[in-house]
This record gives sequence, C-alpha cells and structure tokens, in this order.
Amino acid sequence: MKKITYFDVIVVGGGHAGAEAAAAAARMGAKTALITHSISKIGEMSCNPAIGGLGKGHLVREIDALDGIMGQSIDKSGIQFRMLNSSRGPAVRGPRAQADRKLYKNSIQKILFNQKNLSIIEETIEDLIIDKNKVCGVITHKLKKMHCRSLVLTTGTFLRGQIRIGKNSYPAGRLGDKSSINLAKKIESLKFSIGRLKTGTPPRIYKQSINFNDLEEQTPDKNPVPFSFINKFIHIPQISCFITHTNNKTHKIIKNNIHLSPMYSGQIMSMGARYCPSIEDKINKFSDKRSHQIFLEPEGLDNNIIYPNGISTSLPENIQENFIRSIKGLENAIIIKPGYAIEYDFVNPQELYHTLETKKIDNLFFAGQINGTTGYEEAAAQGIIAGINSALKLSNNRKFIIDRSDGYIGVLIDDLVTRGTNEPYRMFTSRAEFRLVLRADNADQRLTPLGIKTGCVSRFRENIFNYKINKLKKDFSMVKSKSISPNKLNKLGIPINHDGKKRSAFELLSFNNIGFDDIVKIWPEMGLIDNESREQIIIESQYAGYLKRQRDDIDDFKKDEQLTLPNNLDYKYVGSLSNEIVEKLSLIKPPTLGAASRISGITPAAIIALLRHVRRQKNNKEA
Amino acid sequence: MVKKQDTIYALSTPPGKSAIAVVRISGSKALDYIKKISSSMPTKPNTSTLNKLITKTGDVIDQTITTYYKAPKSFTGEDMVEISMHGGNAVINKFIDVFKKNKKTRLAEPGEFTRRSFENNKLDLTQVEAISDLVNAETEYQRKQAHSQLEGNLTLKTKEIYSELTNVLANIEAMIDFADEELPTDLLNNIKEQIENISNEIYNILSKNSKGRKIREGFIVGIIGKTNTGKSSFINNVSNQEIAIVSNKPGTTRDAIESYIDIRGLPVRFFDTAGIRKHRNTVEKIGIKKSKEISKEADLNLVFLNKSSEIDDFKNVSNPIFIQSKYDIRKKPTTINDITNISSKNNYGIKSLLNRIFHQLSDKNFTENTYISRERHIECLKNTIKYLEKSKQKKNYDVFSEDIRLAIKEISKIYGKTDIENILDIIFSDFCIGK
Ligand SMILES: Nc1nc2c(ncn2[C@@H]2O[C@H](COP(=O)(O)OP(=O)(O)OP(=O)(O)O)[C@@H](O)[C@H]2O)c(=O)[nH]1
Ligand SMILES: [Mg+2]
Repeated sequence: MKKITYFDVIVVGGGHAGAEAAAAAARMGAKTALITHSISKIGEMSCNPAIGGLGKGHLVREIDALDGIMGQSIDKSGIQFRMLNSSRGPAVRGPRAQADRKLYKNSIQKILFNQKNLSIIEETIEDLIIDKNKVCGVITHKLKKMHCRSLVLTTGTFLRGQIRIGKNSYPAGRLGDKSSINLAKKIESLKFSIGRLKTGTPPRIYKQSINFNDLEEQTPDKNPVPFSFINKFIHIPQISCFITHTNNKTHKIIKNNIHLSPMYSGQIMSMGARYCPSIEDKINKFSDKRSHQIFLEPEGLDNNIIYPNGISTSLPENIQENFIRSIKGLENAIIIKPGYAIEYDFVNPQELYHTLETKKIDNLFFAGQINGTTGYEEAAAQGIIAGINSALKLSNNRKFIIDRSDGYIGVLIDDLVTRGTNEPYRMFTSRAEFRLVLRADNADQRLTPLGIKTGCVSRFRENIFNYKINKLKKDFSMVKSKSISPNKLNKLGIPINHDGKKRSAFELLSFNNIGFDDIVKIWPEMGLIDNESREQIIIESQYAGYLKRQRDDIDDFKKDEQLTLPNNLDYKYVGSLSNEIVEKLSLIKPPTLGAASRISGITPAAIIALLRHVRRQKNNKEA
Repeated sequence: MVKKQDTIYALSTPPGKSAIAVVRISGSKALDYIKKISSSMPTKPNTSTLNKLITKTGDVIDQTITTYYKAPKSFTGEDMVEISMHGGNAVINKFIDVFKKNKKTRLAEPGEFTRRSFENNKLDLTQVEAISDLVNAETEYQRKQAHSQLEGNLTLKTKEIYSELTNVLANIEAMIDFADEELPTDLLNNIKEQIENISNEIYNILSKNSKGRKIREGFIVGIIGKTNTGKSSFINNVSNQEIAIVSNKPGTTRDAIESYIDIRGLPVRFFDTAGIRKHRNTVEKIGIKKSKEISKEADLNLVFLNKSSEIDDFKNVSNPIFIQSKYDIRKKPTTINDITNISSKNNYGIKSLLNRIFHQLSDKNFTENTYISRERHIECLKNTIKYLEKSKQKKNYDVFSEDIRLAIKEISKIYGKTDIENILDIIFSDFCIGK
C-alpha cells in the first residue's frame, strides 16, 4: 500500500541552503519536511572549515537578522574569530571564523531537531509530481508519494557532477546511487537552461605530519565578536592558523606536470571562479609571482585534519604529494585525502523570480549551489529566502523580497536572477552599490523588522531586537538633543574653531579629535550609553554626509523598483525594441523597471520605450 | 501627483548660431527665479510677455519672449518657463553663465524634461505619438553627439580618464575585498599617485578648454613658417588693411602682429609672426622665440612653406594647416594633398581657406551638436575633481572608495553607467586572487 503524506513545504537537501530553508519555512508556521539522504550529514561543511569573510560575513549577519541558524551555529563552533578589514572602515568589515566542523554540524542539527513544525526524513527522491506546470509533491525511493504545497530543491552539485584527479574521472555523489540520477534526469526533462561550472578542493593533510615551528602564525582576535545579534560572547577556545608559502621548487614540479592536470589536458572546459583558481592556474597565469600563500586551517579542536587553503588542485595524487612536500613545514606531510576538481551543471538562475521560485514550474523553488553560486553563506542566504517564500505560498500570494538597497541578500539574488552568472558566483562587498548603508553591524536594524512583519522571526529574537532598537532610539535622541558652544568646549580643554556655532554631541563626534570619552566628560549622563549604541552613533556621525547621499540614492532606486512590469507583458508589442532585447526581456521577465535596467545589454532607449508602454497600458485600463 | 524635484534648465533648440534660441526651465522654482532677472514677467499662466532679462549687476542680457506654464498644465507637468531669445552665441552663453551661478536651478541631464513628463503622467494616448517623435529626436541627437564627441580630443581624454579611474577603483576594491591576499605592497602608493596624475590631467583640460575664455578672447590662429613665405601678405589680405610690413627681404617681420577677424560669427585672432631662420640679431631672436610660443598656444597654426619639403621642419606644430602662397607666380603649384595653395595677390584659395579655418575651429570647440554637452563635460569634470580632491584626505578605505565611485559616476554621466563586473574583471586579471 502506498502511503500518502502531505506537507506544506518539502525541502530536499540537507546542506546549508536546505537547512536554512527548512528552518525558515517551519518558523513561518508551515508544516515542513526536510528530506535528505543522510541525516548525519546535515549541516556538514564539505569544503573549507570557515564561515564568513568579506561580503560573506555580511550575508551571515543578514541571515541571522531574519532569525536564521547559520550565525548562531558558528558562534557555538568558531575556533578562530577574526574581524577582517577592522581598520578599513565599518562598511567593509567582515566577520569570519574558522569552524570546528563537528561542533558546527552538531549545532545545526540540534536546532533543526528541536524546530517546531519540522520533520526530518532520511530518504532519496526519485521523481517530482508535477501537474499543469505546478509541482505538488515528490516520489521517494521507497516509492512513497509525498504531497506538498511547495517544494524547495537545494541539491548542490549533484547535476551531472563529475570528479577529476589527473587522468581519473568518476561521477560525483554517492557512487552508483541511481535515485540521484533519476532526479537529475527529471530536472533536465523540465528543460531549464543549464550551464556547467567547475570548482576544486585542495588535498587534506594530517595535522601531526606538519611542522608548524617556523611558520608564520595568524592569531585569533583578542575579543571575538559573535556573528549572531542575540549573542554577546563566544565561549569556544580560540586557536591560531598558520601560513606557509609555495616556492620555486613547488612551481617547477607543477609546471613540469601541468599536462597531467585535467584542466590543461583539455578534459575540463567549464568555467571556474576567477577568485578561487587552482594552484595550476595561479602558477600558469601569474608566472611572475614567485610564491603563493597557503593558510593551514584546522578543521576542528580535536580533529587531525588540516585544510591547506590556497592550493586546490586536480593533479594526480603522487604529484600532489611531491609538490606539497616541497613546501616549508610540509616536508613530511601525509595526505589524508587528495585534492580534486569537480564539474557540475547548474540551472541558469535567470530561470527564477526574485523569490527563487522557478518561472517554468509554479511552487518549485531552487536554492544554493544549483543556482550557480559558491559558498555556504551564499547558499544559506538563498535558502532562507526560498524557505520563507515557499511558506508564503500558503497565504494569499504574499512575497518576501529583499531588494538591493535592503541588504546583501538582495544584491545576491538580484544579480543572479537578472544577470545570471558564468562563473561560480560569490559575494563581494564591492557588488553592493549601497555599501556604506548596508553594513554588517546594522543588518538587524535593516532586516529584522522586515522579518518580523513577514513572520520568520521568533518571539525570543523579536523581544531582544525591540529592546535594542528602543535603547538605540533613546541614545540617539540624547546625543542629538544636547549641544554646547565652542567657547565652553575650549574651556574644557577640547580644541575647536571659535566659530560661535553650537554643536550637538552627535555633531561633535564627527570631529577627528573628539571621541566618546570627551563627550562623556562634557555630559556625564552619556556615560550610560553602552558600547553597542556608541558604535552606531559614531558611525552615523562620522559618515553622516556619505550616508545621507547614499540614502537619497536609495530613494531614487526605490522609485524605479516601484514601477512594476506585469508578468504577462508581451515584449513583442512594446514597440521600438530590438529582437535581441525582446528575447532577453521575455526570458528574464524583470519584475520592475529597475530590474530591467540592470539586465546587461538593455539600453536607456529600451527603458524609455518600456516605461511608455506600461504607462499607455495603465491609462487604457483607467479610461 | 507631482513630486518635488530640482528645478532644471536647458537650451532646447539646437546649439550654435540660429535666429531664435529657446531655453526651458522646469520645476517649482522656475517662475520665482526668472522673475528675479526679468523686467516684466507674466503672472498669468499660458501667456507670453515681451521681457528683458537683466543680470543682478544690471546688464541686459537680451530682449525675449517669455512664457509661463503653470503646473500641471505644462510639458513636464511642473511649473515651467520658456524663454525665446536671440540665437547668438554671446547671448546664449551669457544666459547660461547667469544660470550656472545661481543655486536654485541646475542644467538638465539629457532627456530629463521628457523623463519628468513621463514621471508626472503627462502622457495621454493622443500625446504618445508626438512624444515618441520627441524622444526619438533626442536619442538621434545623442547618437550624433556621441559621434562628434568621439572626434573631439577633449572627449577622448575624458574617456581615458574614465578608464584610469576605473582602474584606481579596481585597485582600491582589491584592497578591500581581498584584504587577506598577497597584494603588491606598493599598491596604496600607486593608487595615490594615479589619483594625483588624473587630477592634474583634469585641471589641465579645464584650463585649456574653458569655452568662456574663447568667447571673450577669440580663437588664436598662428601664422608661422620660414621667412619670406608670404605670411605678412596673407594677414594684410584677410584683414583688408596693411597692418604688417611686406617686403621681399627675408626677416621683415620681427615681432608678432595681431589682427582680429570675424569669420562667420566666430571670433578669430590671427598672429603674424617672425619668419623662422637662423637669427641674425637679438631682436630677431626674441621674435622667433615668440613665434614658437604663439604656435604652441594657438588653436590652429597656418604653416607657410616655400617648398613642400619644408613640411618636415614643422612636424611638431600642433593643429597645423600647411600652406604654399604665391600661387599666381608659381610655375609648378604643389599637388600634395596636405598642402593648400593660395595667393594673397589675386585671392586664390583665400575664401576656402577661411572656410576651412572656421570649420576646424568650430569642429574642435563648438560643433553645433556638442556645444551644450561640452558645457556638461566641463561641469562633470569639475565635479569629478571635487570628489578626487576629497578622496585625498586621510580616511577609511570604505569612504575612500566611495569618493572614487562618485568621481566615476560624474565622469561616466557622459558615457553611461559603470558596471561592477568591469571592476571585478580588472581585479582578477591584475592580481592573483584566491587563497
Ligand atoms: N606674387 C606674389 N607675391 C607674394 C605673395 N605673397 C607674398 N609675396 C611676396 O613675397 C615676399 C615676402 O612676403 P612677406 O609677406 O613679407 O613674407 P613673410 O613670410 O612675412 O616674410 P618674413 O616676415 O620676412 O618672415 C614679398 O615680396 C611679397 O610681395 C603672393 O601671393 N603672390
Ligand atoms: Mg613678414
């Protein structure tokens, strides 16, 4: 007897996108199932053992602001916290932490197991049930039909994944697992436009075979700053990483054997990420660089594996060993697992709406690496958005979209769905045009209110947030209300121009020579303002001019985003658009005039024509 | 609903010399501002008045016909004033100058009037056709403009600056987004040096291409060449008077002689100079030195030759037109394309030479199409400099980069927006990124 089961939301895949999607849907109150082939692998870090970094750290903070699980989990498992760019300005600071793989995974699993409304099921998916371009369930390996309102696929690199080391090549994933092949075939049969990408990993090295004695040490921050806005302290012991370098000998070995690398023997043609080249690529493309740095990253506190970040390779195993042993500190290195390259298919993200629902099949969502991104954080960011929107499908067609001026998550998704990608997409701070406003330190102020409104934020976090916001408001109004004349300031020993202009505490903080301690000297009651508020006040004061300009730009941006283009707009009838532009717009279906203007190859004249057309339609309707 | 926006102005007839020029001002402050500089201003909407425009200092700019359109019954849907004035360059320039100095209004971006009328929902079905024509005219105008800008060297220069700035930004972004990578240690110094060089370049352009100066002082055309080639005879011919001494003795002219000539409305100052040869005495030496200075500053140089082979001696002269005079008595007139034949005795070729001078000067500086956009160029360049100067103050990388982004935004107003992908392309091709 076939048993029929129903869930509001089914999430397939237990990686970082899947975990975040399932948790978000369940928080939204949807009856949710997370289906994974192996429960023990949920939340596993399959690549390098770190969370955050530049741009990525912003994403983690934003996920956390929406009550996601990534930030809390890294706070429980981070073994080396560092605030990157701490001296380069608040907008580009990026929190990063090395993780203890096991602790991280444990934390994710614990949160999911305790999540209300969420069932976790160990199963594999054979097929999707699709009725009139609408997904309504899955068929699992044990031939159970499971129905659902919406389905989120977060299956990573399983589409035609192919691993290559030297001349060897074999399909990725669980070897010989037919069901993953069936699901891949199903997705192919739906005729999404597909591209192929490549990524690589370095060999893993046995920790006790490395001589760290003479290597450069990278120490953790003295005061680790948590990722999550609900945490104030980190309780995990903090340890160092070590840095070593490739040398002449290393380069020689690699050059001499480059023909054995599948990338140079013509076996791999797909596009790898330019910011994450293999060591073969680095040596080949930047031949004048004498050495390349390698971060020796521990995979955990009681773990014997070292991840040498910076030397991903697909050379044959014996060559890997050769060149590894030419490197300082690694002379006796034992390789536990060789590096390899993996090629895989991804779905062109232009097939998706900003909600990450596919345009072809209703109620079907894609999130994570399947959309052409790389990185846990990018995956998790998509996961939370897909999770929220899949749950919103239950209600009267509400949508949850973060736009480019709200957060990095918005930049990420907008880039993907309007422009597509031809290399594994990774977040950078430079992608955010409103970077000064979208800081890691204010992610909660930007996004938690949106999360509360849409229903993905728990009461616990809501209370913490409200408390903080009220405190901030009070503190800001205090520093803006008290003011003092230059005369008095000078008398207090704080030198300032005698221009007769009275200035508020807030304005005074924009002067380089005036710090919060001076302010407290003038107005002792401001000593009560805590560090969290002080940081916000100082940034807003020192960057006031820049922030005002950028907020004005955001207003302009929002105006264009409010001009919506109907989903069923037939671009052929817009007039004065070239065929190429008609094709592009019909494929991508930009939701707003703003989104249309960001598609590559769309001219200003085309935008004017679009605007004109939409206005005409509207007037017709009103008449 | 009409949104409150800046008040903008622009010349809406094609720039250059024409009978009537129309300037439009749109926005909430349009009427107020024009009233301030008017002798008699219509207060009733949709009526026209004969109105003298007067500057603060009391100069009359022109007698105009001024029309006032009250919001929302105007082209843009905002309060608008339309001024028809006489179409001479001097009048228009004076007017634009007065406008530039006031803080209430600003020069419109290309297409901004049309855009506002779109935004204010001014288009009903019957207007669509008419507007469509207008919008098309506008893009056609932009197309032409883009083309002629390509030929101007100011434009080529600004394009160069644009790509240099893009490089600077890419370098800063590399330091921000790839802080953990091994970037070149002298990167920051290089960036600072590049910014210094770029600002100097812009200052240079701004000082050379100040159009206002040209209008006031006229273009400079140097008349240079070896002795006895007929330079003085030429300046006498075109100025219809004997201002320079002519003789068959080489080295007659010792000091530069100036003659102001109006070529079809373009003010041009011809400078006859001492013929160049191995000088015989100090007076002549000073004269020759001056000749060289003039030829360096000149917008155009008429290089007079005795024989065509002399061209090689004048290779370094900027903006040259090579000329052989005395066509009337030459047995074998030159047939080399680059050399123009004239005669100051019988006027052969003089008219067409003056025509050519007119075209070359106006092409380079005031093509009818690039006139206003040049105005915009200068404004963009000034804003670019403003942000570059700001970036030189000591500050965090995030705002340092923002200053450069704003500078690029200003200069790219001429070419369309920058794309972050270009920046990333530069980073990844210049630096080995990826730990
Ligand atoms: N037939 C004829 N003679 C000319 C013409 N132009 C100049 N000449 C004669 O050529 C001689 C030199 O003329 P200038 O005009 O003094 O020459 P220049 O180049 O000013 O000479 P310098 O001042 O000495 O450098 C004079 O005898 C002129 O009369 C012309 O077009 N036709
Ligand atoms: Mg002479």
